[in-house]
Amino acid sequence: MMNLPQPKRLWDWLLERLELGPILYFAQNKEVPVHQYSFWYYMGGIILVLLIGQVLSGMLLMVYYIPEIRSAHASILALNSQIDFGWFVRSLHSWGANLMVLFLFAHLFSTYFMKAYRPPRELTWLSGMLLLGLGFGFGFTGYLLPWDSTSFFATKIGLDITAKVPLIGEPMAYILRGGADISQNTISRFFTIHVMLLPLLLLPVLGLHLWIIQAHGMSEPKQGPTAYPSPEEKYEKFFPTFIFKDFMAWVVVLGALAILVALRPWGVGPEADPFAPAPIGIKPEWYFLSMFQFLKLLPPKIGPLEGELVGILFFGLLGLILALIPFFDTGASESRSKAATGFGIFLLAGLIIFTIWGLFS
Amino acid sequence: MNAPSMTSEQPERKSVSRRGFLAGLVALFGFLWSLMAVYPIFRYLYPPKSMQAQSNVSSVTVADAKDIPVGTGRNFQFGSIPAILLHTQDGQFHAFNAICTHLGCTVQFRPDMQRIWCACHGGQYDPETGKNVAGPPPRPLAPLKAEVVNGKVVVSRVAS
Amino acid sequence: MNYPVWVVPYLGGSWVIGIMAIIHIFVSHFAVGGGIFIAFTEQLAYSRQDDRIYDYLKRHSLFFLLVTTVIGAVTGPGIWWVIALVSPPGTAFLIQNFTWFWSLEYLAFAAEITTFFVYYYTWNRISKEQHLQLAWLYFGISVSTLIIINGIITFMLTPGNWLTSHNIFEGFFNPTYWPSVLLRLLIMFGLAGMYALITSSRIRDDEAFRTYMLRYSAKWLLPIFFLGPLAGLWYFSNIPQAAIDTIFTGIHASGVGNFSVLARAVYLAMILSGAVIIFAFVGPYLNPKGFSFKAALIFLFFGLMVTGISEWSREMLRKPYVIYGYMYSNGILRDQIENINRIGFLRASKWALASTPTIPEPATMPSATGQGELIFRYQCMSCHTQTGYRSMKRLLLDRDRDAILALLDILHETDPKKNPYIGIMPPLAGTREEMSALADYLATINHPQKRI
Repeated sequence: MMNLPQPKRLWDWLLERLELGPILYFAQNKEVPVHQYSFWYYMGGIILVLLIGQVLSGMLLMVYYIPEIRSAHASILALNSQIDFGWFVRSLHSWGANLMVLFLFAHLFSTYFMKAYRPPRELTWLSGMLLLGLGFGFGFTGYLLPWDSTSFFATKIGLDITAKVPLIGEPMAYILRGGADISQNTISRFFTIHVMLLPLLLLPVLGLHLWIIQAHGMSEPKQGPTAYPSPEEKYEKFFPTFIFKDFMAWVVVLGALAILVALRPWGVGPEADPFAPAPIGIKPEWYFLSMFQFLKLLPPKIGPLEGELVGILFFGLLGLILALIPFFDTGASESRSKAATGFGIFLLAGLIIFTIWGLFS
Repeated sequence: MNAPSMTSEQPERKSVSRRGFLAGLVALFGFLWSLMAVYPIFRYLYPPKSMQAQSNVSSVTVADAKDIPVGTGRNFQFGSIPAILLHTQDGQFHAFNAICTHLGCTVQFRPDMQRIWCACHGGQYDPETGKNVAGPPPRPLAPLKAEVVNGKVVVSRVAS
Repeated sequence: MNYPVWVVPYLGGSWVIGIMAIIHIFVSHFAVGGGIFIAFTEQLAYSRQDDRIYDYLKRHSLFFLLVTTVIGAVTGPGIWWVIALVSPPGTAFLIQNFTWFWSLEYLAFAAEITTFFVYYYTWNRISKEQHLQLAWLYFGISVSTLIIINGIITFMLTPGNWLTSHNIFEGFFNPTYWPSVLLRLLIMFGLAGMYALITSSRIRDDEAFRTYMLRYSAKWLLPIFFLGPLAGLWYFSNIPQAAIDTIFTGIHASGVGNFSVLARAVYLAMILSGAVIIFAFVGPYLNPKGFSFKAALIFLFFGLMVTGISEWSREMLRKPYVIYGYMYSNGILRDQIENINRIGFLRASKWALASTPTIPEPATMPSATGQGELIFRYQCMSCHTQTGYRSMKRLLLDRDRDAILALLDILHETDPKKNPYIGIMPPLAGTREEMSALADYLATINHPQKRI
């Protein structure tokens, strides 16, 4: 190391008082496996950096956003047309959210196909599923806040679907909506959920997720009897080699975000009118499109149940299977491993096909 | 022929001070570049003029003259300034800046006292002149011009 | 108006120029910056008597040769060919006024390519001293290609005193000439480093040397790191005030119709420049072991994208002119507008006149959509298409024929208070009958619905 006396003394002082010794030892010895699928290890860190971006841009937005029914839309308009770089901060948040969902899917499917959920990483998987749910919660609640016609109807449809869940659906939707119709109550509740409740829930779950990952080390696809063809066992140090590669990836992703924001700034539609009918051909954002398209195909009644309800229960079942996969495919059985992979392909293909179908219909 | 070992760690001929100088220079310029990222946030947080309350309002129509009986007063907003309108016993309308000169509370008219009164520490002002007549206020209230135009009371800034 | 017009559907002629020119910039900046890199690096190899650097340079110069002489030589004259097709009046003007400069440039290109072929094919055939001299010769010639073309390009944005004096040297050494030379040199050093990272990342068998060359190449981004913002500031303080105003309007407004794309593109170029520098720092400089060939490719792609966006925003600064203050993007001279308004656009245009079937007297001129289409082609098509890029279909929205004519009347005004588009679009020139014909034609593009 270089001979820089002062900083070193300060560092030693902190080291002693914060008892950083064990953590430093861990960090210096942390290693990352190097193999042909190592590329997918970047996904989690990218989501983290995008999340930080969302927190920062969200905080800035809160300076000017007004969660009141007559002012919400106007405040977004003011952001886009009067406040210096207001369009920039807002588009960072909207595009950042979309990119985050994209990488959430990439992270989900890459860890799934690499079978990183197998014991002892079941909790990592479960906390990850929880984080995915929280992410969708962020997206759903945030989407209403600009109070334009698209967000109004998207929320209405989303809450109507929630209400269809047997037993708990109606009361849940009622509480979320703050009444029978979407109103000021809804904006206030969604704002509180988006800005306080979900972040407070996110912190411990994310903390748990990151802690367990450090505790177990990076999963390698060669573990277990049904592993991928095992490459030569190679590891690289996390500090400095992998983390600087992480930084490079983050620069690229943030650069892509900047390009999207500068060349396709996020606009705002006309103000929501609760009494107007839904616009023809309304569609949700791309990440909900597959479910939306699938539901459109179902007949009004399937047996004694409403068609949409069957669809929702089907999604619930898929989600449940996904969440519980670590207990099914523990690595002990070749056939179960294949079944799990098959299920993953089925799910991914379904998502892609229905999303594309939804885009073009 | 091959040169002596080309290690990348320590450039051979640079002394520590030159290395330190270069590192410091890089840090300085890095800081300047980061200003480019900070500048938009700084501008973002500076609200545009259009969002500030109209502080350059020059006149406000408060109410119909017949709605303000003699011996009463009314608070109103003059642009971004709280103001007070009085219809005094001499039949005239008077208007003042309603910010108490003591510690900035908003004053009001007390019909029972026929005085402008401040609830915070009991300061009192004369409704015809705005002069501080009792309590802690050190100065009179700043005057505004009040006149009746077509049956309506219009308050405007005093010509300076 | 005095030349035939080339219709490029959907993409638009301006993007044909854009694509050709941007690819050329990718390569030409490598040719000049890389030439400087090769000269300096060979000097380094010579003074250290290090064969490893010589070996590296030989491989690097093959890469250099193929990229610059093939793609560079194709796209350079390619620009020439495309601008003549898309914008004949502008090209004619530049040729006629800068004839000697153009010929000097061609001479320099020929010398540049020849020198480099000699440089590459005499590796290990001539002495090290002579080879080094060749490298420096190439450096000198390729820099001269930059400093000549730079005068012509910067003239287009800031003709400076030429507008009054018509002195070609005042036009060449115009207000943005020197800032642009500095800025381009800095960009070229950076690109040279990025290209060198590609070849350095592929050094095998000698980890220490690979690390050395990666760090050495990454340091070529230091000039733009230190001087970039200053050079940028110098450049922007010399561009036309109207362009600055447009940029600042875009800082607080966004969206279609707010002309904010210039501000957003300039800002994006600044952000991505910062990102490139950070990437160079955390990538090859701090972590050469982890900087793979793939990472070098991604980095180069990134850097080229920044260059492309910067060139695009530089071109947008010039709106609505192709030669600022003199000739509009559609080839009409600013001083001609009054005359055209008086006698009519079709009468004033030699070629358009020859290609229209009949030009009857104004009093009996029918509102033929054919004539409207001609006017669209000559006055609008330099920047718009019918249904593709920046299309009439999207911009006219639901306007019916009368609403379109009302818009055209606004565009006809030259007073900025009456025509808010004046800072970004040339005024529409012609008689009212011609405006009417144009409105008829445009109405057929966006197929307006009948309003109830």
